[in-house]
Amino acid sequence: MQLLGHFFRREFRSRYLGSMSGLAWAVLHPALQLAMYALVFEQIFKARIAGAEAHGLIAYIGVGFWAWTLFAESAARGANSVVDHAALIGKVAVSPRLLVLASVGATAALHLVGYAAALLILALAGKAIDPLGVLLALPVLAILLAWTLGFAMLVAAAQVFVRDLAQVLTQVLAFWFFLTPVLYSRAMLPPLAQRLMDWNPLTYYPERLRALILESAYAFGWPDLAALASAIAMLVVGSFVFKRLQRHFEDFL
Amino acid sequence: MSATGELLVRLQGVGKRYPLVHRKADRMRAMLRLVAGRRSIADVAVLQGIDLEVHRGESLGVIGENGAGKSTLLKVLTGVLNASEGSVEVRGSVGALLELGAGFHPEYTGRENIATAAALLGMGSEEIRAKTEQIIAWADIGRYIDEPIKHYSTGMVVRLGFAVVAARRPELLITDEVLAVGDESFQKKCVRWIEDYLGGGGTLLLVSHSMYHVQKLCRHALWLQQGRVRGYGDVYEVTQDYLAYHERKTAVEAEATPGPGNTDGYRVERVLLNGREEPLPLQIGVGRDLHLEVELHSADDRPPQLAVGLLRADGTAVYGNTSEIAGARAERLRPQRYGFRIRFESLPLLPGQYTLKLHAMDPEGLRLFDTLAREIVVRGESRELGIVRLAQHWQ
Repeated sequence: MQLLGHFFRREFRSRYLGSMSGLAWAVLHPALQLAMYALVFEQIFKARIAGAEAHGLIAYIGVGFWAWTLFAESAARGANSVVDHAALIGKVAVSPRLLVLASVGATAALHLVGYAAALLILALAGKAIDPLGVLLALPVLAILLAWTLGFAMLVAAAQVFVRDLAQVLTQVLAFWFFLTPVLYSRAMLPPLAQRLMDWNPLTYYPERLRALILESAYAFGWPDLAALASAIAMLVVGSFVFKRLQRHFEDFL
Repeated sequence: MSATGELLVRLQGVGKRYPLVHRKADRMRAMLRLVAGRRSIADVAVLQGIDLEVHRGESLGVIGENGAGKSTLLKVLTGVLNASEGSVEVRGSVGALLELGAGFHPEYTGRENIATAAALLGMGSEEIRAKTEQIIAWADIGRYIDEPIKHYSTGMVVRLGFAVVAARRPELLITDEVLAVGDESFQKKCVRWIEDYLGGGGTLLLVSHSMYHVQKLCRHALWLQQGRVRGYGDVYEVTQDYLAYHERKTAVEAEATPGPGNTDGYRVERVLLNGREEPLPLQIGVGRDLHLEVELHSADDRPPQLAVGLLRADGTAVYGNTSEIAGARAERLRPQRYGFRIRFESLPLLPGQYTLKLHAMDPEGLRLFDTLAREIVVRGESRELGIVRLAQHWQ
């Protein structure tokens, strides 16, 4: 536990707090990104997203975008965490699980801070951010975190054996981003594609977060249970594979 | 194995195997097999059937050639590596200095790495804060403490690593050949610290190629060869056997095949060392007497001469003499059979393995006819250096 805290802090510090004036950077970064989307989509593309008109494009994208970033960055960082710490494994007695946990945790924490800052900025800019919806979004984010952790453990363990996975993962995540309704809404797709979207476990998160935070739609239902089940399944599979393989990391690093 | 203190380490039938991975596809195959819960792919054993018990207060030196599995053994002990077979039990807090700079991150400063290393040793953040200054003082690397580790010399990295472990004072200290890197004064500082630590009831496992350090710090030694235990016991006996093994190895490499002895004419018929005739190595304590009884065959029944040579196991000549030089004459025991008796009083050889060579010579002492060799192992506890103990007086 002591050690997890240490690695968590070290990872967190090394990511942002070391480079610029600390927390300010964690707030500045998402703000700049929001501004960029505002410029590109509203001014250049003059984009229109079905269902987004009521809230403004920036709020619509922003709310879903951070959920995606939280997943993609944490997964990528976590996936690399074991290989990155190859200098530790095989030399110091440290549980590899801890490294993934610290890495995913620190990255997710950073993006949660960014998310909070982004929502605050949107609220200050006069967008209708529902405070109760934000509160109810916390369990949704917790489920996302569980899914991300399971995924990261699976990939981190596999990457020890198959090194090319890091490159593949970058490509897969880029592709996955466009298969997830972050920059568009499902309503814009043909009916078949709309149904297929259900099979992307990450579809749920931007949609649910937008519903909660922007539309104050609190009613929980089957999609929420499905997401929870999917996250638990991912966590179980990730833990199982990690556990089976972790004894052998030292031999393949 | 002494049962003085509580058991800290118990290894039973421990082995470690590494997979043979030549192609990328092997790695993928290994992964799929492991996930399916089956055995990994073809592998090679680096440790096999290690049984070991270490009690509190014990000091054990682990010796052996390069690649004998010493470091792997320590890593399995500390839980850095997982044993492929057998059981590993370790109780109490463990402080390990395994590899140079292990656990240190090259980009971080010495101060930051102290925090990581201390946390890895199980120290809490309170304790780390309280002890950081003490660690920095012990490491004694001056202003470098706030520089990234990558700018350090190897000696400085070891200083830092040792300082953290010294501050932790673990119940079981495990070090792998780290003393060799530091400079003279740092080595002395470490040795002093370890002696003090052992005096205070600490337990030590030390890997070293320096028999001086092993003998100085350890009471017992474990000799590993090709992943198996070759010897275990009193540090002096095991290290002496180990050194003798090396001496023999060098001798075998250096020396061509010995010349064939001519068995016509004169030959060494039998020899008794301290009354024993079996051709087994004779064990003898430092400073004990050595009696030789030699019987020689003489084809023409003239009294032959005898040459006696004593060599260290690596072939270094220690002493040689002949009956002719000594002015001794063979005693005729019966037709064609002559005998010599030689007594070496309080043999001043230092502990180690030696070879006694007996040569039958013609009566003129000109031609060497036959050779018979016997092994002598001198036992004893001594840290003196060299081959023989010279008479001396210290004032």
